[in-house]
Amino acid sequence: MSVLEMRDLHVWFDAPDGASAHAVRGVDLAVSVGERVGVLGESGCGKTTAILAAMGLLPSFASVGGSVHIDGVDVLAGGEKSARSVRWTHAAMIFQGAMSAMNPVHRIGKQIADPMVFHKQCTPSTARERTRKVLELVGLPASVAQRYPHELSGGMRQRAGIAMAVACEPKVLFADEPTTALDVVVQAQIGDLLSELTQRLGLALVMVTHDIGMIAETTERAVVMYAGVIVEDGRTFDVLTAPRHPYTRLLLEATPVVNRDRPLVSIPGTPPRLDEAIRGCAFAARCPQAFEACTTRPTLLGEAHRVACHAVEKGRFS
Amino acid sequence: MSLFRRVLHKPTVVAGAAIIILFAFVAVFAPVLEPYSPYVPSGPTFAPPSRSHLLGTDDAGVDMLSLVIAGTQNSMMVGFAAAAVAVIIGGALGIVSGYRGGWGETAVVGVTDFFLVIPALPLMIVLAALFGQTIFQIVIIIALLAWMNVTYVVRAQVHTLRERGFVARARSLGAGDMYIIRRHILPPVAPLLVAQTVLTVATAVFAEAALAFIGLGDPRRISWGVIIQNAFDRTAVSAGAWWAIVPPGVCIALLVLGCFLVGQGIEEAMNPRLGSAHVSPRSFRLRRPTPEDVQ
Amino acid sequence: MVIALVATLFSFVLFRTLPGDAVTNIAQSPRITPEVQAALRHNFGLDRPLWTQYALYMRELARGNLGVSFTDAQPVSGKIIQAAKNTIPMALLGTMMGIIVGTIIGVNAAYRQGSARDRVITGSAMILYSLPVQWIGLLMLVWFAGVLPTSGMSDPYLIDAGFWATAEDRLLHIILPATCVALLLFGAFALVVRSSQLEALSDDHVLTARAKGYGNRRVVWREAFRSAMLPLVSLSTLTLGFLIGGGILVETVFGWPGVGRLTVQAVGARDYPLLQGLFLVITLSVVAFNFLGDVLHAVLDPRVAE
Repeated sequence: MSVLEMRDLHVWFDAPDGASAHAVRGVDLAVSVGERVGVLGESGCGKTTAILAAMGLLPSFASVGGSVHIDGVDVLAGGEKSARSVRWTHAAMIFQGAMSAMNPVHRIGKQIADPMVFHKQCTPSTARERTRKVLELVGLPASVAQRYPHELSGGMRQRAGIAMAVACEPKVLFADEPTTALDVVVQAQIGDLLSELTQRLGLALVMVTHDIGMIAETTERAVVMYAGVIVEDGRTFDVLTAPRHPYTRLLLEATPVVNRDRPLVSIPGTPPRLDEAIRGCAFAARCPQAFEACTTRPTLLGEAHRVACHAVEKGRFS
Repeated sequence: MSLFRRVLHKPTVVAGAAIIILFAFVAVFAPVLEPYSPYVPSGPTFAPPSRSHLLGTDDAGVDMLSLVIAGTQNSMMVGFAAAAVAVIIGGALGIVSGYRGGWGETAVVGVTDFFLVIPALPLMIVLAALFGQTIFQIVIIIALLAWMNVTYVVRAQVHTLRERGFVARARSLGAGDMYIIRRHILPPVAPLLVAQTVLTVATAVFAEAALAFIGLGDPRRISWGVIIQNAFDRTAVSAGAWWAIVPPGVCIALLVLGCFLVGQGIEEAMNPRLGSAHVSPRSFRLRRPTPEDVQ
Repeated sequence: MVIALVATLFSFVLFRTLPGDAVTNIAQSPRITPEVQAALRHNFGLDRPLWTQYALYMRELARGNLGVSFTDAQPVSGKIIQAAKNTIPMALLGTMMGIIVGTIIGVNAAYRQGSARDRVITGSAMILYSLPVQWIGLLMLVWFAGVLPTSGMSDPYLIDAGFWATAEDRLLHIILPATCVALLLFGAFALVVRSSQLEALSDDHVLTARAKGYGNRRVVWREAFRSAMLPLVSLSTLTLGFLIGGGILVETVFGWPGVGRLTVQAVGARDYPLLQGLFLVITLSVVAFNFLGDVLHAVLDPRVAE
């Protein structure tokens, strides 16, 4: 049973001058209870926008189409009101910069405890008790509750951010590049913590990142996005070791790997402009395998390892 | 788009500039535009606005429109002269201290901070009371208390320019200080100086009106501030002669507003603000994808 | 502290650069011979080196002695304290009204950035900010003459009235000058609050607060405004400091017997000891309120406290 279900999700950003950028162009993604999914892609491919849309957190100049169900609740249909009913209690989020994502003038403990009280899950004193527990859960001493965000190191702040997100016992945890701002050693620790914690609490994790190593360590399923659509979706091991979509292949070849002697490639061209209509496969213009069929839009096909590519479908390339 | 074009594309800046130009026009052609003499009575006392006296007359029967036009001349003169002096002092201090750095910069910052803390209006009153109140002295007094903002802003800007490395590069190629300031510092700082000049005009017009209201204006000159003071000191209020009070205040407000619009417009164009609010009364909208969206 | 010391030196030097000294004025009387003048100067210590004079001045200052007024031979400090007692309630009330209205309106405009309401608010705040305060006061005099008392701070014909009658009288008198101060400040406060609130609303932690499921009211006030109020605190304390002396124009219009009006009277009478004392007190009050602002800042922002 899926705890998160995006169906044909679209997001447009409308500029004041009437122009409109189609940032997410139809995403279908179902995540089951306790599943850990990594969403991979270049900057600007719509991955962050998609998860913000799933919690209804887009600004007023955004338009959203399609549907999102979290824990059975239709998030988008009732606008801000229905979105608010799932936030933090059903789905919570870990943000990229833990420093700027926390209120600089409130103590960590207050920032963890306040939502529990606000959502009427418990009384202030029980909330303090639970705060201590979740801090322990993420490996922080209880005294951190008395600290302000600027008094913590980057790694501790991100741990506190995770504590904050799991405090209201959500079913889904979104993570938006949770480790980009950290140094490599701390990145690995946070990755370990996330995968261990989500398994222990039975949380579904949807982690957006362009860090392939992070995906490999933390997730069991990988989704690759390009220009606002999912182009490949399969078990993390399969996607990373045997990528099927030409874009995924190039993306992996463009990633530097230590201790491996192979030339680093770069993908020719640039991602398409999103404020102009895209016809057919968005990657066709940069794709070495492109042929006539690519002027129509490919659909995600396959069983366990799905891919949206005419060339793969026609067996021209595998 | 160049800074200049970006600035001129803002309707607020165009409106502000139009106001300033209009007042400058009135100031230059004041003697031609005055329908009557601003010194000699030309009608009954406190006559309400009529066809012959468009803005009525004051307590002595002097035509208000002529008074306001004559006042425009002096207020504009004080405003622009004081702003020019303040920007020359403040700009020079800011550029030299920001460019040179070291103890000189520390000293300038200290003095600027001190003058920023000292309450300007009381000090102006004391200075005007001690050293006299001819229009020349008033210009100097106002300028002496208006240069700090210019120094503050200009120094910060020059400081960041100096950090950017091309100054050191130019110097290593053998360029002299004056050359570097002229070629590399002045051009990027110039729009800031223009913005500060316009904003200082507003401050100076305010200050002149305040001094005049305390009775420390130049008694031989008509300015907007003097007209307001006359309306207060003489019997305009008890006579209910609003027409003797309203026009000079509207003139000050319009000119000051024009200066704000232009000054802020330039400053905003220099550092456009990015980022959008995360909260607003309206959240995202729902939209159904059309067939074109999924081609 | 340093600034306060420099301020005393500054005011000392400023008044020493006057043409002539205290004795010159007295010397205009024909019976005062040059010998008497010299004796007087010696008595006042005016023949000693400037540094000694400054030291003496500082010693008297430390004892709270600001000298004696030229006009009525009363101690300057007593006159200033009396005036300050009148100024402070009026300035405080006006500032409070300005802050509250300016904050509510500024936060509202930022929340609805770009809307018609925002444009109307920003536009009218700008216009109010451009009006000379003495002119606003005059118009208030014209409009409210007969409705509310327009001059002074109490009714001179109200003798031996009870507590409530006196209180009511004071309250009626304070309305117009305090409102005038509020109008003077409101425009600036609204604009400052709007721009700092806009900045706060685009902070990432506001997105976090929304993600937590908080309602807009809570996000706007408890999350965004809590950090946006810091510039407002600085501005408010600075304003209060300036108002001790800067209420000059308002006090003149409404005949409010405060520090500002005393300054104008001292200027009119060329009462230099009084003027010097006033200038010093006004400057020091600005310095003191600045310090208060720094303290409040540290209390409200844990990042500054370090």
